Amino acid sequence: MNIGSDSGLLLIMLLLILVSLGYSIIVYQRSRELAEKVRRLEGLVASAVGSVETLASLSKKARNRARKRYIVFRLLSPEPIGYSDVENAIKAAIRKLYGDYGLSLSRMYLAIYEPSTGYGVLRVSHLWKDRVIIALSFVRNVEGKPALIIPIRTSGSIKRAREVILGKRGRN
Amino acid sequence: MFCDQLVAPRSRLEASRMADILRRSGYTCVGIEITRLPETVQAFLVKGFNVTKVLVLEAASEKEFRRKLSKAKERTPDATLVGRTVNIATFRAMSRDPRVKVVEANRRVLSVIDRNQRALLEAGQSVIGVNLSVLLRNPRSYGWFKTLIERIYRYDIPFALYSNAVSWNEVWHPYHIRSLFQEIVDNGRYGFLGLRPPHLDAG
Repeated sequence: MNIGSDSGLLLIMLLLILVSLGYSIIVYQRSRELAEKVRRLEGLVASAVGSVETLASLSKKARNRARKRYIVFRLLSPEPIGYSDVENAIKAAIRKLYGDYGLSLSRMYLAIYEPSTGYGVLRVSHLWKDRVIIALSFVRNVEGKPALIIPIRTSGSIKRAREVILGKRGRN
Repeated sequence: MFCDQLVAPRSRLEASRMADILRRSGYTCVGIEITRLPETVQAFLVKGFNVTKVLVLEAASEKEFRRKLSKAKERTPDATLVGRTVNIATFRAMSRDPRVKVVEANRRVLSVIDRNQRALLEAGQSVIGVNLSVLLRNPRSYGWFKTLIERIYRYDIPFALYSNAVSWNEVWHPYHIRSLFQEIVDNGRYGFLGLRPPHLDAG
Protein backbone atom coordinates (compact mmCIF):
# COMPACT_ATOMS: atom_id res chain seq x y z
CA MET A 1 0.00 0.00 0.00
CA ASN A 2 2.80 2.38 0.94
CA ILE A 3 4.82 1.35 -2.09
CA GLY A 4 1.83 2.20 -4.38
CA SER A 5 1.27 5.67 -2.87
CA ASP A 6 5.02 6.51 -3.10
CA SER A 7 5.19 5.56 -6.77
CA GLY A 8 2.07 7.70 -7.49
CA LEU A 9 3.70 10.67 -5.80
CA LEU A 10 6.90 10.11 -7.75
CA LEU A 11 4.95 9.96 -10.99
CA ILE A 12 3.20 13.22 -10.19
CA MET A 13 6.52 14.92 -9.39
CA LEU A 14 8.06 13.58 -12.59
CA LEU A 15 5.13 14.92 -14.55
CA LEU A 16 5.45 18.34 -12.89
CA ILE A 17 9.20 18.43 -13.68
CA LEU A 18 8.53 17.55 -17.31
CA VAL A 19 5.83 20.23 -17.64
CA SER A 20 8.05 22.92 -16.11
CA LEU A 21 10.96 21.86 -18.37
CA GLY A 22 8.76 22.13 -21.46
CA TYR A 23 7.45 25.49 -20.37
CA SER A 24 10.95 26.87 -19.75
CA ILE A 25 12.04 25.63 -23.20
CA ILE A 26 9.13 27.50 -24.80
CA VAL A 27 9.91 30.69 -22.82
CA TYR A 28 13.57 30.44 -23.83
CA GLN A 29 12.67 30.11 -27.50
CA ARG A 30 10.27 33.08 -27.34
CA SER A 31 12.83 35.26 -25.60
CA ARG A 32 15.43 34.41 -28.26
CA GLU A 33 12.96 35.36 -31.00
CA LEU A 34 12.21 38.64 -29.22
CA ALA A 35 15.92 39.40 -28.76
CA GLU A 36 16.44 38.81 -32.49
CA LYS A 37 13.60 41.21 -33.31
CA VAL A 38 14.99 43.90 -30.96
CA ARG A 39 18.42 43.56 -32.58
CA ARG A 40 16.88 44.01 -36.04
CA LEU A 41 14.95 47.07 -34.84
CA GLU A 42 18.11 48.57 -33.38
CA GLY A 43 19.83 48.16 -36.74
CA LEU A 44 16.99 49.93 -38.51
CA VAL A 45 17.01 52.85 -36.03
CA ALA A 46 20.78 53.22 -36.32
CA SER A 47 20.66 53.37 -40.11
CA ALA A 48 17.80 55.93 -39.96
CA VAL A 49 19.76 58.14 -37.53
CA GLY A 50 22.82 57.87 -39.76
CA SER A 51 20.91 59.01 -42.81
CA VAL A 52 19.39 61.93 -40.86
CA GLU A 53 22.89 63.02 -39.78
CA THR A 54 24.12 62.77 -43.36
CA LEU A 55 21.21 64.91 -44.55
CA ALA A 56 21.92 67.52 -41.86
CA SER A 57 25.58 67.72 -42.82
CA LEU A 58 24.63 68.00 -46.49
CA SER A 59 22.23 70.88 -45.81
CA LYS A 60 24.93 72.60 -43.73
CA LYS A 61 27.32 72.27 -46.66
CA ALA A 62 24.66 73.70 -48.95
CA ARG A 63 24.19 76.66 -46.60
CA ASN A 64 27.92 77.41 -46.49
CA ARG A 65 28.36 77.08 -50.25
CA ALA A 66 28.88 80.39 -52.02
CA ARG A 67 25.72 80.87 -54.03
CA LYS A 68 25.55 83.09 -57.08
CA ARG A 69 23.86 86.42 -57.50
CA TYR A 70 23.29 88.18 -60.79
CA ILE A 71 23.46 91.99 -60.67
CA VAL A 72 21.64 93.61 -63.57
CA PHE A 73 23.15 97.01 -64.36
CA ARG A 74 23.14 99.70 -66.98
CA LEU A 75 26.26 101.52 -68.04
CA LEU A 76 25.61 105.09 -69.08
CA SER A 77 28.19 106.61 -71.37
CA PRO A 78 28.08 109.00 -74.33
CA GLU A 79 30.01 106.49 -76.45
CA PRO A 80 29.55 102.70 -76.64
CA ILE A 81 32.12 100.81 -74.57
CA GLY A 82 33.35 97.27 -75.30
CA TYR A 83 32.93 94.16 -73.15
CA SER A 84 36.55 93.79 -72.10
CA ASP A 85 36.87 97.48 -71.19
CA VAL A 86 33.84 97.27 -68.91
CA GLU A 87 35.06 94.03 -67.31
CA ASN A 88 38.52 95.51 -66.71
CA ALA A 89 37.05 98.70 -65.22
CA ILE A 90 34.86 96.75 -62.78
CA LYS A 91 37.76 94.45 -61.83
CA ALA A 92 39.99 97.49 -61.26
CA ALA A 93 37.37 99.07 -59.00
CA ILE A 94 37.00 95.89 -56.91
CA ARG A 95 40.78 95.56 -56.73
CA LYS A 96 41.14 99.19 -55.65
CA LEU A 97 38.72 98.73 -52.74
CA TYR A 98 39.28 95.12 -51.65
CA GLY A 99 42.55 94.03 -53.28
CA ASP A 100 43.38 90.98 -55.38
CA TYR A 101 42.21 88.62 -52.64
CA GLY A 102 38.82 90.36 -52.54
CA LEU A 103 38.56 90.16 -56.31
CA SER A 104 39.11 86.40 -56.22
CA LEU A 105 36.64 85.92 -53.34
CA SER A 106 33.96 87.92 -55.13
CA ARG A 107 34.06 85.42 -58.04
CA MET A 108 33.05 88.24 -60.35
CA TYR A 109 32.24 87.43 -63.96
CA LEU A 110 30.60 89.64 -66.55
CA ALA A 111 27.97 87.20 -67.80
CA ILE A 112 26.11 89.47 -70.25
CA TYR A 113 26.93 92.85 -71.68
CA GLU A 114 25.30 94.63 -74.60
CA PRO A 115 27.44 97.57 -75.78
CA SER A 116 24.58 99.04 -77.84
CA THR A 117 22.17 99.47 -74.89
CA GLY A 118 24.65 99.41 -72.00
CA TYR A 119 22.71 96.70 -70.14
CA GLY A 120 24.73 93.96 -68.51
CA VAL A 121 24.63 91.18 -65.93
CA LEU A 122 27.40 90.61 -63.44
CA ARG A 123 27.67 87.26 -61.67
CA VAL A 124 29.10 87.41 -58.14
CA SER A 125 29.17 85.38 -54.95
CA HIS A 126 26.13 86.07 -52.72
CA LEU A 127 28.45 87.03 -49.86
CA TRP A 128 30.05 89.77 -51.97
CA LYS A 129 26.94 91.26 -53.59
CA ASP A 130 26.89 94.52 -51.62
CA ARG A 131 30.64 95.00 -51.82
CA VAL A 132 30.56 94.59 -55.60
CA ILE A 133 27.72 97.13 -55.87
CA ILE A 134 29.82 99.58 -53.82
CA ALA A 135 32.72 98.90 -56.19
CA LEU A 136 30.39 99.56 -59.15
CA SER A 137 29.70 103.01 -57.74
CA PHE A 138 33.43 103.74 -58.00
CA VAL A 139 33.45 103.17 -61.76
CA ARG A 140 33.14 106.72 -63.10
CA ASN A 141 35.49 106.42 -66.06
CA VAL A 142 36.08 103.56 -68.48
CA GLU A 143 39.18 103.87 -70.65
CA GLY A 144 39.19 107.62 -70.13
CA LYS A 145 35.55 108.04 -71.17
CA PRO A 146 33.07 109.27 -68.56
CA ALA A 147 30.72 106.50 -67.48
CA LEU A 148 28.28 105.66 -64.73
CA ILE A 149 27.09 102.20 -63.72
CA ILE A 150 23.57 102.08 -62.30
CA PRO A 151 22.61 98.80 -60.62
CA ILE A 152 19.04 97.94 -61.53
CA ARG A 153 18.25 94.70 -59.75
CA THR A 154 19.83 91.66 -58.14
CA SER A 155 18.53 88.23 -59.03
CA GLY A 156 19.26 84.64 -58.01
CA SER A 157 19.10 83.21 -61.53
CA ILE A 158 20.41 84.33 -64.88
CA LYS A 159 17.04 83.58 -66.44
CA ARG A 160 15.34 86.19 -64.26
CA ALA A 161 18.19 88.64 -64.91
CA ARG A 162 17.66 88.20 -68.67
CA GLU A 163 13.94 88.82 -68.22
CA VAL A 164 14.71 92.07 -66.35
CA ILE A 165 16.90 93.26 -69.25
CA LEU A 166 14.24 92.29 -71.80
CA GLY A 167 11.58 94.15 -69.81
CA LYS A 168 13.75 97.26 -69.48
CA ARG A 169 14.71 97.20 -73.16
CA GLY A 170 11.05 96.85 -74.17
CA ARG A 171 10.10 99.82 -72.02
CA ASN A 172 12.86 102.00 -73.49
CA MET B 1 11.30 111.31 -53.07
CA PHE B 2 15.08 111.70 -52.66
CA CYS B 3 17.10 114.86 -52.34
CA ASP B 4 20.69 115.54 -53.34
CA GLN B 5 21.39 118.52 -51.13
CA LEU B 6 24.51 119.74 -52.91
CA VAL B 7 25.48 119.57 -56.56
CA ALA B 8 27.77 121.94 -58.41
CA PRO B 9 27.47 121.25 -62.16
CA ARG B 10 30.28 122.88 -64.08
CA SER B 11 28.17 123.76 -67.15
CA ARG B 12 24.64 123.91 -68.46
CA LEU B 13 25.14 120.70 -70.48
CA GLU B 14 26.42 118.84 -67.43
CA ALA B 15 23.46 120.14 -65.43
CA SER B 16 21.02 118.90 -68.06
CA ARG B 17 22.53 115.40 -68.11
CA MET B 18 22.75 115.38 -64.32
CA ALA B 19 19.09 116.34 -64.01
CA ASP B 20 18.12 113.55 -66.39
CA ILE B 21 20.01 110.89 -64.42
CA LEU B 22 18.90 112.18 -61.02
CA ARG B 23 15.29 112.21 -62.18
CA ARG B 24 15.53 108.61 -63.39
CA SER B 25 17.13 107.60 -60.09
CA GLY B 26 14.17 108.93 -58.10
CA TYR B 27 15.45 112.32 -56.95
CA THR B 28 12.95 115.17 -56.81
CA CYS B 29 14.96 117.94 -55.20
CA VAL B 30 18.48 119.31 -55.48
CA GLY B 31 20.52 121.98 -53.82
CA ILE B 32 22.69 123.86 -56.29
CA GLU B 33 25.90 125.53 -55.21
CA ILE B 34 25.26 129.26 -55.46
CA THR B 35 28.18 130.13 -57.76
CA ARG B 36 26.89 127.64 -60.38
CA LEU B 37 23.28 128.72 -59.98
CA PRO B 38 22.46 131.21 -62.77
CA GLU B 39 23.39 129.02 -65.72
CA THR B 40 22.35 125.60 -64.40
CA VAL B 41 19.11 126.15 -62.50
CA GLN B 42 16.96 126.09 -65.64
CA ALA B 43 18.08 122.54 -66.52
CA PHE B 44 16.73 121.29 -63.18
CA LEU B 45 13.55 123.36 -63.23
CA VAL B 46 12.64 121.97 -66.67
CA LYS B 47 12.76 118.44 -65.23
CA GLY B 48 10.45 119.47 -62.37
CA PHE B 49 12.98 119.55 -59.54
CA ASN B 50 12.56 121.54 -56.36
CA VAL B 51 15.69 123.66 -56.35
CA THR B 52 17.33 125.25 -53.34
CA LYS B 53 20.31 127.61 -53.28
CA VAL B 54 23.26 126.34 -51.29
CA LEU B 55 26.20 128.35 -50.08
CA VAL B 56 29.29 126.48 -48.93
CA LEU B 57 31.01 128.31 -46.12
CA GLU B 58 34.63 127.29 -45.61
CA ALA B 59 36.41 128.59 -42.54
CA ALA B 60 39.68 127.76 -40.83
CA SER B 61 38.85 129.43 -37.51
CA GLU B 62 35.81 130.48 -35.49
CA LYS B 63 36.57 134.16 -36.12
CA GLU B 64 36.67 133.65 -39.87
CA PHE B 65 33.44 131.66 -39.67
CA ARG B 66 31.63 134.52 -37.85
CA ARG B 67 32.89 137.07 -40.36
CA LYS B 68 31.92 135.00 -43.40
CA LEU B 69 28.57 134.05 -41.90
CA SER B 70 27.44 137.65 -41.33
CA LYS B 71 28.57 138.56 -44.85
CA ALA B 72 26.77 135.57 -46.37
CA LYS B 73 23.55 136.31 -44.53
CA GLU B 74 23.58 139.87 -45.84
CA ARG B 75 24.18 138.89 -49.48
CA THR B 76 22.12 135.72 -49.77
CA PRO B 77 19.65 135.51 -46.91
CA ASP B 78 17.59 132.69 -48.46
CA ALA B 79 20.46 130.28 -49.21
CA THR B 80 20.98 127.07 -47.25
CA LEU B 81 24.36 127.21 -45.55
CA VAL B 82 26.73 124.26 -45.59
CA GLY B 83 29.65 124.64 -43.19
CA ARG B 84 33.01 123.08 -44.04
CA THR B 85 36.00 123.11 -41.73
CA VAL B 86 38.90 121.01 -40.46
CA ASN B 87 39.08 122.80 -37.12
CA ILE B 88 37.24 121.08 -34.28
CA ALA B 89 36.30 124.30 -32.41
CA THR B 90 34.91 125.81 -35.61
CA PHE B 91 33.08 122.57 -36.36
CA ARG B 92 31.35 122.75 -32.99
CA ALA B 93 30.55 126.42 -33.42
CA MET B 94 28.98 125.66 -36.80
CA SER B 95 27.01 122.78 -35.31
CA ARG B 96 25.33 124.90 -32.64
CA ASP B 97 24.63 127.85 -34.93
CA PRO B 98 21.01 127.71 -36.17
CA ARG B 99 21.87 129.60 -39.36
CA VAL B 100 24.10 126.76 -40.63
CA LYS B 101 21.84 123.92 -41.75
CA VAL B 102 24.45 121.31 -42.73
CA VAL B 103 27.87 120.82 -41.14
CA GLU B 104 30.16 118.74 -43.28
CA ALA B 105 32.09 116.00 -41.51
CA ASN B 106 35.60 115.04 -42.49
CA ARG B 107 38.51 113.00 -41.23
CA ARG B 108 39.80 115.68 -38.85
CA VAL B 109 36.54 116.03 -36.94
CA LEU B 110 35.76 112.30 -36.80
CA SER B 111 36.83 112.04 -33.16
CA VAL B 112 34.13 114.45 -31.96
CA ILE B 113 31.20 112.70 -33.63
CA ASP B 114 29.43 111.39 -30.53
CA ARG B 115 26.37 112.00 -28.36
CA ASN B 116 27.61 115.51 -27.40
CA GLN B 117 27.83 116.39 -31.07
CA ARG B 118 24.28 115.15 -31.46
CA ALA B 119 23.16 117.49 -28.67
CA LEU B 120 24.93 120.41 -30.38
CA LEU B 121 23.25 119.59 -33.69
CA GLU B 122 19.87 119.41 -31.97
CA ALA B 123 20.52 122.83 -30.38
CA GLY B 124 21.42 124.30 -33.74
CA GLN B 125 18.71 122.37 -35.66
CA SER B 126 21.32 121.28 -38.18
CA VAL B 127 22.53 117.96 -39.57
CA ILE B 128 25.88 116.33 -40.26
CA GLY B 129 26.77 116.49 -43.95
CA VAL B 130 28.39 113.49 -45.62
CA ASN B 131 30.13 114.48 -48.83
CA LEU B 132 30.18 111.41 -51.09
CA SER B 133 32.51 112.98 -53.65
CA VAL B 134 35.35 112.56 -51.14
CA LEU B 135 35.04 108.80 -51.62
CA LEU B 136 35.18 109.06 -55.40
CA ARG B 137 38.16 111.39 -55.48
CA ASN B 138 40.11 109.40 -52.94
CA PRO B 139 39.01 105.78 -52.43
CA ARG B 140 41.52 105.49 -49.56
CA SER B 141 39.15 107.59 -47.49
CA TYR B 142 36.81 104.58 -47.33
CA GLY B 143 38.34 103.64 -43.96
CA TRP B 144 37.44 106.80 -42.05
CA PHE B 145 34.23 107.14 -44.04
CA LYS B 146 33.17 103.75 -42.68
CA THR B 147 33.94 104.88 -39.13
CA LEU B 148 31.93 108.07 -39.71
CA ILE B 149 28.88 106.12 -40.87
CA GLU B 150 29.22 103.70 -37.93
CA ARG B 151 29.29 106.61 -35.46
CA ILE B 152 26.33 108.33 -37.11
CA TYR B 153 24.40 105.07 -36.84
CA ARG B 154 25.46 104.33 -33.26
CA TYR B 155 24.56 107.76 -31.87
CA ASP B 156 21.55 108.22 -34.20
CA ILE B 157 22.86 111.55 -35.46
CA PRO B 158 20.75 113.33 -38.11
CA PHE B 159 22.68 113.40 -41.37
CA ALA B 160 22.45 114.41 -45.01
CA LEU B 161 24.17 112.65 -47.90
CA TYR B 162 25.09 114.69 -50.93
CA SER B 163 27.13 114.00 -54.04
CA ASN B 164 28.73 117.46 -54.56
CA ALA B 165 28.80 116.34 -58.20
CA VAL B 166 30.56 118.51 -60.75
CA SER B 167 29.79 116.32 -63.75
CA TRP B 168 26.94 113.94 -64.58
CA ASN B 169 28.98 110.79 -63.86
CA GLU B 170 29.56 111.78 -60.22
CA VAL B 171 25.99 111.43 -59.00
CA TRP B 172 25.01 108.60 -56.66
CA HIS B 173 22.14 106.23 -57.28
CA PRO B 174 20.06 105.33 -54.16
CA TYR B 175 20.91 101.66 -54.80
CA HIS B 176 24.62 102.52 -54.37
CA ILE B 177 23.84 104.20 -51.06
CA ARG B 178 21.73 101.28 -49.88
CA SER B 179 24.56 98.85 -50.58
CA LEU B 180 27.06 101.14 -48.86
CA PHE B 181 24.98 101.25 -45.68
CA GLN B 182 24.14 97.55 -45.88
CA GLU B 183 27.84 96.77 -45.97
CA ILE B 184 28.86 99.21 -43.21
CA VAL B 185 26.03 99.10 -40.66
CA ASP B 186 23.99 96.14 -41.94
CA ASN B 187 20.95 98.37 -42.48
CA GLY B 188 20.71 99.49 -46.08
CA ARG B 189 17.51 101.48 -45.74
CA TYR B 190 19.05 103.67 -43.04
CA GLY B 191 21.02 105.38 -45.82
CA PHE B 192 17.79 106.70 -47.33
CA LEU B 193 17.36 108.92 -44.24
CA GLY B 194 20.30 110.91 -45.56
CA LEU B 195 18.55 111.52 -48.86
CA ARG B 196 15.42 113.02 -47.35
CA PRO B 197 14.45 116.56 -48.34
CA PRO B 198 15.84 119.12 -45.83
CA HIS B 199 12.49 120.13 -44.35
CA LEU B 200 12.10 116.58 -43.00
CA ASP B 201 15.48 116.60 -41.31
CA ALA B 202 14.79 119.29 -38.74
CA GLY B 203 14.47 117.81 -35.27
